[in-house]
Amino acid sequence: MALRSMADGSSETPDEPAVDTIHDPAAGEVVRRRLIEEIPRLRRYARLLVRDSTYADDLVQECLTRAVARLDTYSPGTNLRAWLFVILRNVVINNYHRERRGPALLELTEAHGQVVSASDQEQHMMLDEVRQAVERLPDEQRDIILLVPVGGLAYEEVAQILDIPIGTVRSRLSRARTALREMLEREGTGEREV
Amino acid sequence: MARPEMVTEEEIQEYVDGRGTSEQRAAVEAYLARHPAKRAEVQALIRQQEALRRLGTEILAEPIPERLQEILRRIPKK
Repeated sequence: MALRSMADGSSETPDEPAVDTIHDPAAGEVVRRRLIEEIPRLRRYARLLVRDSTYADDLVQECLTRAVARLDTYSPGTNLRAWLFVILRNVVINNYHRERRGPALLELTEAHGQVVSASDQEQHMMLDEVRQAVERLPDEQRDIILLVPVGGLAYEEVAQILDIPIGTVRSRLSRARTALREMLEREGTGEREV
Repeated sequence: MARPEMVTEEEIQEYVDGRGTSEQRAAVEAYLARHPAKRAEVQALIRQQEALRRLGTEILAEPIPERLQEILRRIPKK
C-alpha cells in the first residue's frame, strides 16, 4: 500500500497564528507596542542567522526602519509578525554579507562569560552542536528550522512568509529535521538519553 | 476502518511540533506503538525539537537595544 498523498492539503487543521488586534492603523501607540513585542523574535532570528550580535541588530534596525516607513502598507487585522518577517528576510537577502558573520557560536557563548555548572555546561555544548549543525544546513532547510522549531511560528505564518503552500512547509520541515538528525547522529550526539 | 494503517510524514511533523488535534495525535501514537523503529526515530526528533526550541532563548530575554526602540518613537502618536 502506498503512502497517502503528501500533497493533500485540503483536510488540514488550520494553525493559529498570532492574532492581530490593530484595527486602527493610525493608533500609533498600539502599533508601537505590537512592534516592540515582536522585536525579540526578530533579533533571535537575525542573530542565529548571522551570529554577530551587532550585525544582527543592524539587520533588525533596517527592518524596523522599513516597517515604520511603510506602516500604511500593513493591512490591519492581518498577521503583523509575518509582515515583519517578510521585511526582515528581504533586508537579509539584500544586505547579507557572509564575511560579516560573527565568530563561531561556541566562542560567543564562552565570551558571554556565563558561569555554568557541569551539567549545564554539557547542555550548552549539546546546544552548540545543534546550533552548528543548523548552520551547516542548506539555506532553505536552515530557514525553515529557524522559523518553525526555533522561532515557534505557526505553519500558516511560515507559509505566508516564504510564500509557499502549507504542505511544502511540512515537507521541507521533515527533510530539514531528517538532515539535522543525520548530522547529529554522525557526531554521536543525536541519541543522547534525556 | 476508523484509523488508517499509515500516518504521513506531515502528521508526524505536527506530532513532533505538538500540533494537530488530540485525535490526530492519538492516531500517530497508535501507529508508533506498532512500529518501534519509527517510534525511536520520532523520539529522536522530539529530543531534537526540544533542543531547537531552546536555541537563542537567551536573546529573547535581553532588553531591547535603545537604537531599536528609537526607530519606533518615529511613529506618530496619532
